[in-house]
Amino acid sequence: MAIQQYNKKIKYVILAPAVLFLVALTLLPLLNLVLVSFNQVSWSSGRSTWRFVGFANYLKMGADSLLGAGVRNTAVLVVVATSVQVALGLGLALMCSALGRRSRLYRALFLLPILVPGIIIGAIWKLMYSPQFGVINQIIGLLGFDPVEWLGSPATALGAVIVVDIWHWTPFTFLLLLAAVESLPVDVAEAAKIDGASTWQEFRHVTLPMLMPAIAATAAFRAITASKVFDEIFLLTAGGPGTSTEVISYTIYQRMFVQDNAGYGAAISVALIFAVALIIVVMLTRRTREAA
Amino acid sequence: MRNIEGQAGRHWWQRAALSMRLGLVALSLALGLSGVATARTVDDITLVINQSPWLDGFAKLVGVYEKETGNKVALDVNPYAGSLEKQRNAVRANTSEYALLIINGIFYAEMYHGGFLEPLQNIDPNFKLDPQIYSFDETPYYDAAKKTVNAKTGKLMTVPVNPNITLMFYRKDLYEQKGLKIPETWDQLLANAKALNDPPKIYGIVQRGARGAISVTWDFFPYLMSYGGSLFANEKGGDFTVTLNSPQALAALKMYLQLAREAGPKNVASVDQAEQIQLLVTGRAAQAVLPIAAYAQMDDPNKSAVVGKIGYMNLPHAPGFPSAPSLGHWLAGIPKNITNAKKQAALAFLAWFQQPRNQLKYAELGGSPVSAAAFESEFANRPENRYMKTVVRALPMARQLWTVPEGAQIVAVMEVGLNRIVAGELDPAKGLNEMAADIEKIVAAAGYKTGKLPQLK
Repeated sequence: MAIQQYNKKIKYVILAPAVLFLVALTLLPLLNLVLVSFNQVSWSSGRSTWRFVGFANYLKMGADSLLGAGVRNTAVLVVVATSVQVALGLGLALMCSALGRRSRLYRALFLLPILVPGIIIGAIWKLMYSPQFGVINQIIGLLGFDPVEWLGSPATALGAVIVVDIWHWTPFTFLLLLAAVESLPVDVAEAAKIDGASTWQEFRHVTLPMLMPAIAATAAFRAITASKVFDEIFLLTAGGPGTSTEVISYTIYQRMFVQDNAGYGAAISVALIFAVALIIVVMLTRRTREAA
Repeated sequence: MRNIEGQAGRHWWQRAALSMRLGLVALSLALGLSGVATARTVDDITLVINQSPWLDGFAKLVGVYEKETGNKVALDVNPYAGSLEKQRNAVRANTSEYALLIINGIFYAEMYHGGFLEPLQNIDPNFKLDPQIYSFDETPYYDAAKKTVNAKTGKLMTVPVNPNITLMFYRKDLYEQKGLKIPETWDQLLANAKALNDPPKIYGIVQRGARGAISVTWDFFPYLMSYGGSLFANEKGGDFTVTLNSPQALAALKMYLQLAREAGPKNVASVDQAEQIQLLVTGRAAQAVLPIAAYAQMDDPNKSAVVGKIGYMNLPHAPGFPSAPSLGHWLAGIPKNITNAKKQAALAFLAWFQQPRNQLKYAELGGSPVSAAAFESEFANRPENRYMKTVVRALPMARQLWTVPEGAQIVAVMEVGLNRIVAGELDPAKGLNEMAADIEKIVAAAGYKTGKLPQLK
C-alpha cells in the first residue's frame, strides 16, 4: 500500500520538471502576450510606459486593410499549397514504395528541398524568377514568349510564392505519407488483386481508405505550419507587390517589430492563436465523432 | 664512446636545434614588442550595423583602427530591419550588448526621443564633432527640452558615419553618344530617359518600387519635396497637418510613375535597390536614383561591366523649386545602458573615425566619408572619386524625411501605399488620400497638433 502511494506521488515528482519547463516556455510567454495585447507600450527617457486600452487593439483589426489582405492570402496559400503538397507527396510515396529498394536515390533527391536553409531558398528562387536574368524567363523566352514579372505582378506573385512553398514542403508530406504507405498490410492489397481489382480500383477502394487517417493528419500538420508562412514572403516579396502576398505572419511582423506597435501586434497574434486552436478543436471533435 | 657518425649527427642536430630555439626566441621578442606597440587601451566593443553597399569600406576601416590602436571592434551585421530591431532590443534591455549603434537617419528620432543614447559630452566633456564633419541638417544634435534637432541648443548625441544621400547615377558615355544634356527638371529627365530607352537591351531609367523597411518611400521623397510638396505642413514650427495628399504631391507621384512606365522595366513593383544596382552595373539600365554608397560598385571590375562609364548628377526638380535629395545618412550613437568603460571605448573609436586622415583612408577603402577633408580636397579630383563633387553640391539641398519618433509607423503606411500605387492596385489620388488619412491617425494618437487636407479628386 505504501509502495503504491509512493509510486503515485513519484510520478508527479518525475513529471514536475518537464511541466515547469513547459509552463515557463509556453504558458508564461502566452500569458505575457495576452497582457501586452490589452495595452499600448511606448518608450520615453529610456523607460517603457504601459497604458491599458482594453479591447481597443482587437477592435482595430476590423479596420486594418492589410490584415484583411493577410487573412485572405494566408487562406489561399494554405488551401492550395497543402492540397498540392499532400497529393504530390502521396504520389511520390506510392511510387517509391512500388519501386522498393530501387527508390533509394529518388528518396534522397525528393528530400533535398527540405534540407536547404530558408535564406538559400529565397536567394535561389528570387534569381530564378528574375525577369532580366532568371532561368525560368530564359526558358520561356526560348519558347517564344515574353518574360513574366513573376514576383513583380500582383496577378502572379502569390502563385509564384505558392510554387516555392510547394517545392520546399512536399518532401515533408512525402516523408510522412511514405511511412504510412510502407506500413500498410500487404495481404489486403494482394487479396484485392486476386479478386480481380485493377490498379486504380485497388488504390481507390483499398489503399486510399486505409491511408485516410495518415493523409488527414499530414494535411492538418501541413495546414497549421503553412498558416505560419513567413520566410518565403520575407525573402521573396516583402508582402508586395501591393498587398498581393501579404500574409498574417508578415503583418504581425510589420506591426509588432518594424512599426514597434507591440500592443496591436500582440492582439493580432492572440487572435490568430485562438482561430487556429478553434479550427483544430473543431477538426478533432469531428474526427472523434466519426470514429465513434 | 659513441661512433663518430652518430656524434657528428648529434652535433649537427644540436646546432640546428639551437638555431631554431634562438629563432623562436627572436620571433617571440618581435611579436611581443609589436604587441606592446599596439596594446589594447580600451575595452573590446561590438557595434551593430546593417548589410549595405558601404559596409565593406566601413569594415575595412575598422580593421585599420584595430591594427593601429590594438583595440578590438566586432561588427554584428544584419539586414536593415533586423539591425533596427536589434538596436531597439539592446537599448531597452538592462544592459546593451552593443557599445555602438549605427542608426539610420530615418529612425534616429526614435532613439533621441526615447532617451536611449548617452550625450557624447557626458562621456568626455572635451569631445566635439570634427569641424570638417558634415552635420546633415544638424541631426547629430538633439534638444531634449524642445524635442528637436538643433546644433545651437542641442547636445551632441551621435557622429555621422555615412552620408547616404541620393544622386542620379547615369551612363555618361550614353549621354555623350546621344548628345544629351544633364537634366535640370524632371521633364527633361523623362525626355532623356525615353531617348535612352531601348528595351529589353537597356532601360532608360529604373525606378525603385518595392516594399521594404524603407524602400520606395525614400526614392519618392525627392520628387515630393522638389515639387514643393511635403509630408507635414510645418514640422519645425510644430504644425503636423498632413499634406501628403496635396496637388503638388500628386504631380510628383505622377512623374514618378511616368518615368517608371514610359522609360523603365515593365513592372517595378518588386524592384529594390539591389536590383537597381544590378541593372546599372550590368549595363541594362541607363540611370537610376541611388544612394552615394553604391558608387564603390560602379567601378569595381569584379562587379561592374560599366567601369568608368557611370557619372553622377544632382537630382532634378520641378521648375521653381530646388532639388531635394533625401537624407538617409547613418549616425553612430552610444547607448546609455552600458558600462563607462565601454562608453569610453566606443567614443575612442568615434574620435579616431572622424579624424581627417582617417576619413581620407575611409574613402580610399571604398567607404563613404562624411568629412570635407575627403570631399573638398585634391582627393576629390581623382577620376575614381568623381562622385564627390556632386555630393558637395547636393549636401546643402539634402532634406530629412521627418524628425518624429513615429517614423517607423509612417514609413510602414507609405511603403504599402506607394507600392500598391506602383503595382497598379491603387489610383494615385486615392492612394495619397488613404496614406494621408492613416498618417493623420498616427500623429494624432501621438499627441501632435495635426489635421489633413481635403481629399484629392
